[in-house]
Amino acid sequence: MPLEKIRIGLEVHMQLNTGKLFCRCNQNSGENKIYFNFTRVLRPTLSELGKMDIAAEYEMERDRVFTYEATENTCLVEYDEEPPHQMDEDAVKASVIMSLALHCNTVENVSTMRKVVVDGSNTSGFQRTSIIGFDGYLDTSRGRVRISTVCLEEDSARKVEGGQSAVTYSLDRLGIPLIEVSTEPDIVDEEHAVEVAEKIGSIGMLSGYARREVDSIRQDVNMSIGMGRVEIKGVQKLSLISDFIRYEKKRQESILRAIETVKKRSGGKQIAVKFTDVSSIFEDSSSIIIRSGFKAGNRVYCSLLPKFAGTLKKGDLRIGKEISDVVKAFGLGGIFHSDELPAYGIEEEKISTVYSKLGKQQDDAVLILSSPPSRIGVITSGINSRINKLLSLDLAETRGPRDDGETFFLRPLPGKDRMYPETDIPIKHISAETMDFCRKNIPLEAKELQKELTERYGISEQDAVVLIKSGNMVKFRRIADYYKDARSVARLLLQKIPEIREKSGKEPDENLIMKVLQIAKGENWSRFVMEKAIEISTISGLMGDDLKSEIERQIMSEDDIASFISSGLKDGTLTQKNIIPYLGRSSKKLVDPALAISVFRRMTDQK
Amino acid sequence: MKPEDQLEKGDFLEIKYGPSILKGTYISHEKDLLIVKLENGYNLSFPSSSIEILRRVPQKKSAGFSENGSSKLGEGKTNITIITTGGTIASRVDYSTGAVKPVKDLEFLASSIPGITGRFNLELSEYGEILSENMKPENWIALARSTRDFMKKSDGIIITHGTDTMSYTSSALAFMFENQTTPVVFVGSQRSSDRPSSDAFLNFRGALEFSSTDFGEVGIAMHDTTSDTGIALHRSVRSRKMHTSRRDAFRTIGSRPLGLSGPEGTILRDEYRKISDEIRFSDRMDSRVALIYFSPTLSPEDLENIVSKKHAAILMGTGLGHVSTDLVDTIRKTARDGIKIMMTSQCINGSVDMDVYSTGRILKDAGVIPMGSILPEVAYVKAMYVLANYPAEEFENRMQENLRGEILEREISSHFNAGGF
Repeated sequence: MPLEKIRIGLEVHMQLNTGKLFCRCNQNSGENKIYFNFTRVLRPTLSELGKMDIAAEYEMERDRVFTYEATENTCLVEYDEEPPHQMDEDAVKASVIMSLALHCNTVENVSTMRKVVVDGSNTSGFQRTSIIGFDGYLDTSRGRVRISTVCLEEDSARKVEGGQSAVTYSLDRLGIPLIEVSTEPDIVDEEHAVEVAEKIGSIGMLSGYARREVDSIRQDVNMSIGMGRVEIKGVQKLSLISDFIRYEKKRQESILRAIETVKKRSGGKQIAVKFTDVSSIFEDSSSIIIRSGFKAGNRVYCSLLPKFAGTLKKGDLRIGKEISDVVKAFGLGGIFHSDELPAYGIEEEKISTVYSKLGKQQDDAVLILSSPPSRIGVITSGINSRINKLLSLDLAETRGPRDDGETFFLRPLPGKDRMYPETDIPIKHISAETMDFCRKNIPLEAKELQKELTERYGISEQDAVVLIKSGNMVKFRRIADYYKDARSVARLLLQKIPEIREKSGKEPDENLIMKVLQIAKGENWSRFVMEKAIEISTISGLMGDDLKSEIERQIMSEDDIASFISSGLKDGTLTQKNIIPYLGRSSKKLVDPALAISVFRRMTDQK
Repeated sequence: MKPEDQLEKGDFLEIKYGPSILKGTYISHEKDLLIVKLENGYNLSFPSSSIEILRRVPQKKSAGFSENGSSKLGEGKTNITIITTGGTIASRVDYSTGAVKPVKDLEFLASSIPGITGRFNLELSEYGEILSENMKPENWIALARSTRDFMKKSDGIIITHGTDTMSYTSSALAFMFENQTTPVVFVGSQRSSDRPSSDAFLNFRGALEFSSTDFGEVGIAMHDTTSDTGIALHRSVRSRKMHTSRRDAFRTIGSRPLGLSGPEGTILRDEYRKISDEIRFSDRMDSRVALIYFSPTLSPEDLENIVSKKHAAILMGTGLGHVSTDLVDTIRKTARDGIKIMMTSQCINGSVDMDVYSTGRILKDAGVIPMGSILPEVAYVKAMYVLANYPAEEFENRMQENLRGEILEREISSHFNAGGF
């Protein structure tokens, strides 16, 4: 069977560093305090045919209870106890900028939709999402890659603990804006995929709106070599993208070879498994796995898998792994099969007994597993579904990424997205002014952007690079445009604030910074004093006159410096080398080094 | 003729927008925006002037949802009638157009609630589709009559109702039924039933359990907390919607809910009137009653105008039951003219007591009747009932008599209206 040339598409999800999309909570959860927990059950809505989406049915266990942790940065909107608020303006701008940067046809009126999700990761049972742009493109070293859509949507809740019947999610991530960029399957190979992902991520970073935490960018990789579309969900590390694509290609090719082998033997007949309880044969087995299974209440089952000998694990044929992925999804630890046995401490004679009981021929394989009796029915169906899919070479499904570069079966591909209008939010018109602003702010190439920052603000190239990479560029511009002393602002954002965070676990938000800078301007504070004021205000919450008083209390005034220097010079205890410690000792207050030195110089010159 | 004049919902369209050609389904128009659903499921909205319709293929009107479903379900022993006034237990979504329609077929309950068909025999009756904010006393009366009719042949009545005025309607029914032979349980939802997270279903399930007990009053079944763990039964004449959007918006004021239904079972605690052998029902209500919220600039002329054609007025005063003293003369004159003036409190919680401060005493002297712990909206509904069913000279005594549990004799809670986290 001729395989097709590989086709690859990407869906890149980037978190934004603005506020949450549909409420005014902060995207950062500070000390991550949990205020309280609550529990919910989600019911899938009936569709027009009264049927449920395949994937929804797979995810949904009727009595699955979801527990949600309400963290500091959540409100009634995240608890699904209040209608959504208006969309965050900066998030809208960021997505329009992204859309324009990717040459998309960008909408002027944003319609928000509800995309049904019942795995519990959205408290409302749906994800709010809107199209911002479509029909765009990205030029790459291997030609043009078409961009099908750029969407603005809310991120889902973060799984904290998962189980069969109960799952816990934290709401801290719920509502953070995500830009989703989807490409057409124009990507030609794994290196190309990495290039495209990098370029898209880079545009986000250069725009200044991309959040730069560890898990802020996730990629879904879609690929097909002619046997159905496989979606690999949630790839975080760029470098792993090519590993996964290579692994998938190999896995699929080896499945093809295995199935061809089976078909030659079976003549294309339908194959199914049927499990028999053979616990009596294994009662006295010394295999640790079997014994602990019995202790847990499991029984041991076996089944013939006709014609599959040598395909489960031999050379690079690995059908055994496909089957074991299924049983793991149903809660078992794994499965034993004839290509591997004897192994795992299972006695050879017991295996022979099983083989003859089943009438195993040379071409046949045998599966043995330890399972709770209540689950063997659903596991049998699961294995048979999988085998039939493999036999018909329909490999389409959603797979998950592992850190070692391999993928594993996650769930069936969802049916058509179930979407209907989010009627709580009116259609949002993007004004001409906003469109204009966005056009002007389409990110320049990295080098040009650095040049523009250094020229406009007089900061160092290194600071410019770090501001961009750390996602602080837009904040920096806003503050520096106000405060004017851009170098101090850069130092504040890149050094002082991380120090404060390290020391106290707290971080000043832009609001606090602007308020303190306003005072600093009015009081004509030096950089030293301004930084100290930011630190004091962040840690103790002081502002306004209270802050000014505290500064006066903690920091030596110019007059005090002059008088201490004067007496130090008189009695000879002060030298040019010990100014700072001397002043600190004398007054027990903090000393602004630059100020102290300039006063000293002034006074000694006068002399 | 504008192109949109010819379009029908569901039409397949091919349109040109800028350099792009898009295919989708026509949904609707909103002001001057044309709304189209793309194949990927997303809606796009364009100003009509900015697009060009290249092709239009009208779609045959699909059968849509079968509007006629089964309005009966189950062969169990307990007969429950469900009267709907518009709030729905379940909705269906047509994802091809995004339209949301109420489910009128009870079949879905069979698979959603284990054992339901064996325990119950359900029947659906549509009272009509009325937004709860549009309900008037004549609707309360019609609904009560319908309830009375079904009460004669059922073991329990559930009434679905919008949450905005659910306390008003259910209180009206509570007064109209002096005795009842079945429970009457109102139920609604704060999150619409098309959402997977909707509280509608569990609220309904709770209502089903409460309506099959010996609870012989009119109650409201809604979420007890934000979690999907317990549905509270509130005595309607002590209930109030205390939050615009939360699932647990309904509270029993001054006390805890009468009952709780959850995974561990259904309990009714505290005292309640049990179902009786006979129905004692009156459908008479005098709707000429006003509910007046005092504010500092409420003038004597304002007050006169409002009460001029009324038979009674409920004042929502401040604190223990006060209004500004410049209204005393008007109040005295109004009371002398035979219009009944009663006092409740904007505080909602706590009792009115007009003996403590001088303003209270002056108002009492002017003819104001203190309503104690009766909630303002409940006093308003009660006044309509008492005016129509008792002679004028008995009015004050009846209003101050605990007819349906609307008076809280003892308040013992350690905290009230607990917010916080």
